Amino acid sequence: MDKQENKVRQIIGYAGQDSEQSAYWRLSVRENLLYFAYALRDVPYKVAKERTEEIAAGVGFTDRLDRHFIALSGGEKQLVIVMRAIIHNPQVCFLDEPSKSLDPMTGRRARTYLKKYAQDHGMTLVITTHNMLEAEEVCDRLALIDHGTVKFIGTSSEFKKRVTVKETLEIGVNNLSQELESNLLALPGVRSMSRSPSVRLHCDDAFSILSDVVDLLKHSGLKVPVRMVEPSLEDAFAFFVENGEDEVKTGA
Amino acid sequence: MPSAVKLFYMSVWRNLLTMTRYKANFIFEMLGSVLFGFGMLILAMAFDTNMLGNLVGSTNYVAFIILGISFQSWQNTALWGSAGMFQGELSSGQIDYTFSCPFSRYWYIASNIAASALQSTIFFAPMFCVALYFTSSTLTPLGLFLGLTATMVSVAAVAQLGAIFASLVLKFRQTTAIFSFFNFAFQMLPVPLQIVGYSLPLTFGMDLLRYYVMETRPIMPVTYEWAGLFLQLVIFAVIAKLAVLYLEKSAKEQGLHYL
Repeated sequence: MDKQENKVRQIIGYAGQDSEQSAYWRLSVRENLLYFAYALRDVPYKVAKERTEEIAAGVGFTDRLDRHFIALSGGEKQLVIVMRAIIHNPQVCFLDEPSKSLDPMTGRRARTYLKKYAQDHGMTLVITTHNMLEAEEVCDRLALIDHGTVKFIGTSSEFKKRVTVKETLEIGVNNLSQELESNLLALPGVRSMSRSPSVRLHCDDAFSILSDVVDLLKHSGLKVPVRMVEPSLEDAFAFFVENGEDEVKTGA
Repeated sequence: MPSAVKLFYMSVWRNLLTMTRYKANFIFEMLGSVLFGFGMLILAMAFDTNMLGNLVGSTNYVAFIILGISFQSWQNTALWGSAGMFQGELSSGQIDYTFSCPFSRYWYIASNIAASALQSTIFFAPMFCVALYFTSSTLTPLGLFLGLTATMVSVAAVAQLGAIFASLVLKFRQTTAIFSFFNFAFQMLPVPLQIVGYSLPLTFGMDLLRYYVMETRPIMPVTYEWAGLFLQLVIFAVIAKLAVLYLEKSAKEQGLHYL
């Protein structure tokens, strides 16, 4: 790889963490993308222009192509940096927390576009993220790194199976008294609890404890919705972090 | 891989676009450059022109100092332009992206220095023209050509030092200022500083420019100065290449963030 470093660089794309300021402030978005594509990535000028238009259209940025970079919001700047990472049509693209400062709608649009772009162009996307929704939506395979060690590699459903989160019960609040939390955790088959965005009980059989949960809430004077939900990757991740690797491996 | 010419051309394009977007600043900097040149007339009265005449063979202090300042602007750009650029890229986070792109780091630095020097020329050309106006009695087309050639070779040699400083910026984050004595007559400097001065390309470049344009007395035979200038260009270019290679090696081993 050392001997052919520029060949390797030619086929990779990159957007670093906290890099939303990393373009020329007084140039427009279009000028920035042209400069990076044509001057630094050696994309032919005409192709660079076409790709700028194409990618901007894909992420819904066409109307802001002629705005100066400095005039964009933090999220818009971040999106330009993601656009820059794929402007030369790389075979492998590394994105470090790509949707960190994007608003939910822009983030969703960017994720959808990136996934489709990767499929259409045969590009491998390597994403580092704390956003489980992003990981689940975009990635075919996940690698879970905890304290610098890879703890799991596989698909999102494999991960969920591995941590044996069978069922999840969602309670429509995000804060409970300590006593109520203890009582809920003491119910048979309840493995763990996560609190964001709402309280979720991870258990073996949600249906069997449903009436007990409702009773406990009633006794505490709480009248909130309770429902059974499909465990998300975030639920599995929370379970993994809270219960540790050993318990996950043994499926305890 | 992008060529050095493309990198240079696009750096100039980027710099000119950026510069002309600050229109008021652009116009006033040009005007200020002319006014500064004429302002030297006042400063000249404070100097002992006879002493200058005895030392360098010319009493034209106005031209002497304006040529020095114009020359210094190019030299400063060559010396610190790329270091400043890397400092900017470090603070904005762009350096990670830059280092992921497929081009020679050495030519990236060199082309950006050349683009910045061209940008400086736009601002300092008016002041330089004022200096030439004051040298009208001694100025010849051949003298101007040779003087500018000496300046360009000198700037190219200093740019190699600039590449070394740029590598140091990435390695050590901050580098300290370097000495500048171009506004003084070299002959006025104490002997230890003169010895240091001989090892720097600016000394010969500045001296040759003044010799060809103002007919000052050179500090040594001009053929020696030309030879010294080209020798310095080659030596500093080799050191600069090695410095950039060392920087890349360190970046690969430790990662840019840990340098």
